[in-house]
Amino acid sequence: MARISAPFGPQHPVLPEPLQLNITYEDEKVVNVAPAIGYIHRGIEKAGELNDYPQNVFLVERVCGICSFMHAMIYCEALEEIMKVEITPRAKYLRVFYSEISRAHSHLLWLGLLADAFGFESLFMKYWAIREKVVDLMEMTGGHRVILSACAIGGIRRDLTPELIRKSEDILLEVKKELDMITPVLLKDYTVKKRTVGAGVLSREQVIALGAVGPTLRGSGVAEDIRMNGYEVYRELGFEPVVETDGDSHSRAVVRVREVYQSIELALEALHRLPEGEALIKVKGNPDGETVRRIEQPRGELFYYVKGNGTKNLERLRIRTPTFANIPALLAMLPGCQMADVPVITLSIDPCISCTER
Amino acid sequence: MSYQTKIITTENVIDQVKQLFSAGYRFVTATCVDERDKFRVIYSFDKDITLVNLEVEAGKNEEIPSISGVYLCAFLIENEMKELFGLKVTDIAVDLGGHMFMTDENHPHPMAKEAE
Repeated sequence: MARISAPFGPQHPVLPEPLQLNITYEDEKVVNVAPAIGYIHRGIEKAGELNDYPQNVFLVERVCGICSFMHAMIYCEALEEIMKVEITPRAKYLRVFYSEISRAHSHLLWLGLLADAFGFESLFMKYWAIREKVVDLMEMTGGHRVILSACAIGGIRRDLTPELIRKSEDILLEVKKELDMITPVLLKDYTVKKRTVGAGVLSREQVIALGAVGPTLRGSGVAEDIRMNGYEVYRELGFEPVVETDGDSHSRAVVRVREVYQSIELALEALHRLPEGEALIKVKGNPDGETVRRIEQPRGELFYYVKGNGTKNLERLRIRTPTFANIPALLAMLPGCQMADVPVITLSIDPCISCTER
Repeated sequence: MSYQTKIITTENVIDQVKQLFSAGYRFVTATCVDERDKFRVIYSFDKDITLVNLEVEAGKNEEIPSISGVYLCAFLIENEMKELFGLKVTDIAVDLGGHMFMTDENHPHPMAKEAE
C-alpha cells in the first residue's frame, strides 16, 4: 500500500494558531505523526527574569489570550506563598468568579469551533452568540473583553459593586437558559455523534501514561481536576470533577459542556457567598524562596515554578501549560484514524499554541 | 500548596522514575533551574492530586539520561531543556535536534546563565 507524507498546518482552517503535524498516511489512514512547533515562541520565561516581579503579572497575562486571568492568578498565588501574604476572603471568592467565567467563555468558544470544524455552522453561530454574553459579562466586571489587570499580588483590583453582582447573576442565568436549548444538539444530534463518537479514543491507562490533563484526561475516566485540592475557595464551594468514560472526541466535548454548567453554578455561588471587606491588600518587599503552584485552566492543569532571590527580579519563572502536556496524547490519538478526522481529533484537545510555546 | 521533594542523583534517575511509573503516577513536567555553576532539574509527578518532585543536580558538562524511555511524553520538555539551557540530556526518544523553538541563526541556549 502506498505511503504518503503530508503536513497538517501550520496554517489550517481548523487551527486558530500555527501548529504543524507531519502526518504519514497509508491511503487515507494515518499511520504516523510527528509534531513541529516553534512558530510563536516568545521567550516569556526569559522575559520573566528581566522584569520586576510585579510587572510579570502583566507579562504572564499575555501567555494566552483566553486564560489571561488564570495565568495572572497562579503567578500571584505563587508570589503570595513565597512572600507569606494571606489575601482576604473576598479576593478569593472574586478570583473564583473571574476564573469560572473565563472557563465558561473558553469552553463556549471551543464548542463553537468544534461545530465549525465539522461544518455545523448554525450550531457554531449559536455557541458564539451565547459566548458573546459571557464576553459582555467579562467586560462589565473585569473591564475588558479579555480579563486583564484584574488580578494583583495581594488580591483583586476589580471589585464588584452590589449592582454589578445583581447584573452578573442575571447574565449567568440567561446564559444557562440559552445553553439548555442547544445542549441536546451537541449531546444527541446524529451529525455531531457521527463525527466525534469513536474518534481519537484513548484509554484511562493511556492518558495517565501520556501525561494528559484537563478534559482530555477526564474524558477518559480519570477524576483529576486541580480544583479538587481546594485552592482559593473551591473546597468551601464543594467542588466535584466532571468525568466521562468513553475516551473519544465526543466524551471530551461532553466534559466541556457539563463544565460550562458547573462554571455557571460555581460563579453564581461565589457571588452569592461573597464576603464583605477589602479585595486588595498592599504587599511590600521582594520574594526570596521558591514554590510550585498548580491550578485548573479550561484546557487542564497549569503549572508554575517561581524562584525569587530577594531582589526585584526573579531567578526563574517556569510555565507549563495544559496544551504542552496534551500534545503527546494528541500524537497517540491520531494513528489509525482517517484523514478527514484529523481536524476534529486535533481540535478535541482544545490546542492553544501561544500557551504551549510561551 | 504542599508537595514532597526527593533528592536523587543522575545515576538513579531512571530507577526512581520507573518506580513512579509502576505506581501509576502521571508525569507533570520537568523544570530546569540554572544555578550558574550547575543545573537543578526538578521532575514533577502527580497521583490523586498529590504532587511529588524528584530533584537532581547536574554539572554544566554532565550528562543526564532521558526519562522518555519510561514516560514518552517527557520528550518535549527534555528537548526544550536541551535547547534553551544546554542541559546534556542523552537518548531522548524523539530528539528534535535543537530545532524545537530555535533555528540555526538563533543564539544557542538563551536561558543559560554565565558562571559568576
